[in-house]
Amino acid sequence: MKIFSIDKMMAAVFGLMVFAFFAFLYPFHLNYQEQYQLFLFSADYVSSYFVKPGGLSDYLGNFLTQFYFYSWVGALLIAVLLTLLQVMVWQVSRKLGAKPVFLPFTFVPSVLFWSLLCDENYLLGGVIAMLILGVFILLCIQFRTGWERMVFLLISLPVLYWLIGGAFVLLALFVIGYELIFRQLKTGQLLTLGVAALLLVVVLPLLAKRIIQQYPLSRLCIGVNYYRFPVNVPVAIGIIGLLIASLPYLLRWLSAKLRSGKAVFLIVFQLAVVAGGGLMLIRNSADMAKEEVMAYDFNVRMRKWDRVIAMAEKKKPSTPLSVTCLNLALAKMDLLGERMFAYYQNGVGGLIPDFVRDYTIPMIAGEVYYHLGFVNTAQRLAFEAMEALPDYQKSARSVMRLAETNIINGDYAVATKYLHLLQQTFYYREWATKALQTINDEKLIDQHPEWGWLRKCRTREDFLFSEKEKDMMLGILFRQNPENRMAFEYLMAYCLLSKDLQHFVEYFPLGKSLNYKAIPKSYQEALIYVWGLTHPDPIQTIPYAIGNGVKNRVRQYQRIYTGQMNAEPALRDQFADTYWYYLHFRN
Amino acid sequence: MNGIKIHIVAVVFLFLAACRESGQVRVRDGYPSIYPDYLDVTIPMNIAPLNFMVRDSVEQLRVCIKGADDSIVVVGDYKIQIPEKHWKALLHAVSGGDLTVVVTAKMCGEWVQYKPFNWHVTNDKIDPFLSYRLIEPGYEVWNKLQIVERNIETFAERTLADNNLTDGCCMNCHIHGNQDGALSMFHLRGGKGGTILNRNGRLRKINTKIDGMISNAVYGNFHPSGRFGVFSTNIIIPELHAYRNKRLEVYDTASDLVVLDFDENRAILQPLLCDSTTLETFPVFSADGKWIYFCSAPAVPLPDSIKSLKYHICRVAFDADKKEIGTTVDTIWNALEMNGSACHLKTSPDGKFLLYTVADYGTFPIWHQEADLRLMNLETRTIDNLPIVNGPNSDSYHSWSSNSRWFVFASKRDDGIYGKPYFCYIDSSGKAHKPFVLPQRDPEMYDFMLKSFNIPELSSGPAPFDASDVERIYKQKEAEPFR
Repeated sequence: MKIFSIDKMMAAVFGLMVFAFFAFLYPFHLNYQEQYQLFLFSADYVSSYFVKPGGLSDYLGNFLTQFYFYSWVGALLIAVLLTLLQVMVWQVSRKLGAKPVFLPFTFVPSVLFWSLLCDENYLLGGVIAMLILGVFILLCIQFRTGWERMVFLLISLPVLYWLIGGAFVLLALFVIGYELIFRQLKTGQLLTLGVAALLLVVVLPLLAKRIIQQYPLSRLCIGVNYYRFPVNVPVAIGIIGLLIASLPYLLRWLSAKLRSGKAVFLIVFQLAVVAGGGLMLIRNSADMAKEEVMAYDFNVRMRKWDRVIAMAEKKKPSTPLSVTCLNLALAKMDLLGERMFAYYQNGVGGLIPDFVRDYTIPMIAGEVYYHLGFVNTAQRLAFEAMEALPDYQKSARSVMRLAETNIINGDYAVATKYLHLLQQTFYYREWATKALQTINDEKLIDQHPEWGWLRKCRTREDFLFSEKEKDMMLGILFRQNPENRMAFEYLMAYCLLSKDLQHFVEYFPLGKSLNYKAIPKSYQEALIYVWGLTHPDPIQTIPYAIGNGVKNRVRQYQRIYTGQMNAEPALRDQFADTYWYYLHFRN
Repeated sequence: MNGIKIHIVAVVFLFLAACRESGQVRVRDGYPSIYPDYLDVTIPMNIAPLNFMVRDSVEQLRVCIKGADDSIVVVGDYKIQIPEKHWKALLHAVSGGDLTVVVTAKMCGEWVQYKPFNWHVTNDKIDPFLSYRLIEPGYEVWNKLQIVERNIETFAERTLADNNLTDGCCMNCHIHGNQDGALSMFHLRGGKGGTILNRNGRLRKINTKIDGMISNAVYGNFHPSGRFGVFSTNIIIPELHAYRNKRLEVYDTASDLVVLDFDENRAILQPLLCDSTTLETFPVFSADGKWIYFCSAPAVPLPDSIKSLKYHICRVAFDADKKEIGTTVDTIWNALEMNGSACHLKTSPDGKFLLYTVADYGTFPIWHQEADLRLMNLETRTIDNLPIVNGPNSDSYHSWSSNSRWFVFASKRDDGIYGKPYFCYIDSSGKAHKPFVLPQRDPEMYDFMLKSFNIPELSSGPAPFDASDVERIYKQKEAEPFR
């Protein structure tokens, strides 16, 4: 056995490419996926998967997905799985008589899967299902006689149905194809066994429906959760599955047709098609805009505020959710008032997004509410995000947040419930155990740097939270705890972003309790602008402590704004980081 | 076995001597901290085994359940699973008497025996079937919903409806008429939805939204004849509290009452009960079907005056022969005098009692910690505040057993969020006994379960349909119109 054969080297190179892609170009997609499941090491959790066809694939897929917590581990796992898939297709093809010259084509199913996995909603259980199918196909072709193979098929079908769901039909197609080509059975025998296999293929899902009533027949026919939205029929996966079952025959046929002297051309042609096509496919499938938002969100989740700001320094965020994350990071670093207009702002939606019934936006909005001290609203959004998951998974991130908010609120019984669940996970166990030690110990919680502070920030009187009146909610929150600088700065930012300068000026004096050393830059800009609306010489008469830099810039800004017909391009070059520019030119 | 790490080392029927410890055992003056709390509860003779766990740090458990002549010894690590067959035999043998439970635990290498406690076994059986909706106790977004029927004599459970099969639509809770398995209904929302009516095993899907009504039927109850149903129609608004562990406030900006005739597909309205100045909700028929009890409150500006929204308990006559609702409304419980707000009325099948929930204000007590059950004797109008029944959190959504000796209710007493079904015994003198939670095969199940048991409803027989029947009627049948 050669250690460095060309097929192994190509597989290794492919694996390295997959790893590099997910580890360095696309890591936050993996973190994103990990947070939307709560993989438990408990017997009940295992059994919940095995009650339906395809459960094993889902279970193994989710088992591996939990390791996406560290994206490089996830990248490694994906690389190994996709490489294994290629190796298996190649092994089957070789057994069927494919010539080595066709090796590059055996990468096609793995490349297709790679492109699918760029979509955060494609789940790893699908790859596992195809690998299990591959193992059964490999086992099938080990048998010497057609009878043995057909008996194996008939025994395997129910087992395989339970393991990989509807994809089990591909094994039947493969074996029948095999017998048609190699003709080890007489026509009558083949027909009889073919009909028996067909019957099993039809009957098994119907039987499953009789036993497991809570799933629609369509779900029992598909089985595995290939896609996060179970209502979607995974056509792309079906095509890859068909390819896995038929590619070996195609390569055998091509090998038979191959004329000598064409090998080099064929290899180059295949490499060009697979590499070029794969590159194009993956470029089209990879959504780098989403990756950016996921990166922002991940850093917010991990409270890496400096990293969020560093990201924005490198490339200014432009999507509403990334702006939300940036604003939160700025506020956490006490920089919101000072620097928020140094970056693109898209209005109040970028400050606190409105609630929508999905599992992404409430998660990010919930972070803002949590750090502001709206503990109940943060709890609600964590719950709603988890409930919105279409594949009925629980979310580790949500459960953590629910535990935190309940600890802060002193609801220790329910917090304990969530912490006990987290203790059954791999990555969150330690955190949960530490958190459990604080339960019922008011002193420990009060001393906790985050929970203790948020306890102080909570509202002291009850009111019904109104999302439509966020400024009013922020005002109440700040009024009830005048030390809550973040609440004040969000209130000010809300007024600035909504261009509500009347309320800005009205609320501005409330910030006295926070003892600012200097008025934050964007407030200075807004104050001098407002003062200038009613006073002829605002720079001389303004009663606020406005820095000379702001005074000089407002003069320059005013000169260009009033002196040029189309001032926007000139102002954009020099003043895009000012509130004045936002006020005049951002919708 | 459902994740239970229980080792039943020995299960033996012996005489009383069987529970005597042979080795060195230290006797402790105090009850074990068992979960669920089954200390000194009254149980029906047809209940499933009361499996429990001990929350103290124990290494091993030995539990002896002693009857008059027999006993069961069960051994486990920190939880026990009582064998069903032997349990049933023991209950029958002791019927009307007490079982004594002796818990001995190994702690730090030493065997300790706790103070024994009793289970009072009454001859009054409870209706053996319990249906409930399993739902995460969320806010506005729902996920997987199921209506499940549990046989409470065993641990058998089956699904009556599952929103996986009905396009993920919301489904409301399943209620029975006369505690009869063959008479029940629930609402399926969404485009193909309707009220699923089960009468004698025949399923119908009906459209309860009639021109002029403010909404589809919401809260409802069957007439004893099974021919009529009385419903509220409600415009329901959810709001979120900002304060501490207060959660949701759900209120109606409008609500009316309607009686539906299931034979003639006709609505019976009474203008008095469709008045925009008054909110009417949670209607039920009296046991004889001659009265409709309901909650009523004068409309107030909402949400600003939510704390002054208080519902009275009222009643109005109903004539089933003439198909008419009376014109005089009596107030039998005045919310202002009682300083509370009533909801979830349920009359006992023997006509003697009215069981209801009282909160400080509003119409959605499940998130009101102070919400408690009250029992009104309809003959004497005396009210029992049920101190032994009510817990520190919301107790609501109750249902009677057909013999009026038991009721089940949803209680959030354990953690304030996740509701569980508790059973309470009312003896012949009308006295309520300490309630106990629905037993589970694995007593630890409640610790890890992320679902609430909504509207537990008792019935004497099983519902004659399952989730596939509901799927079929949802997908294949048009909802019958009412006029």
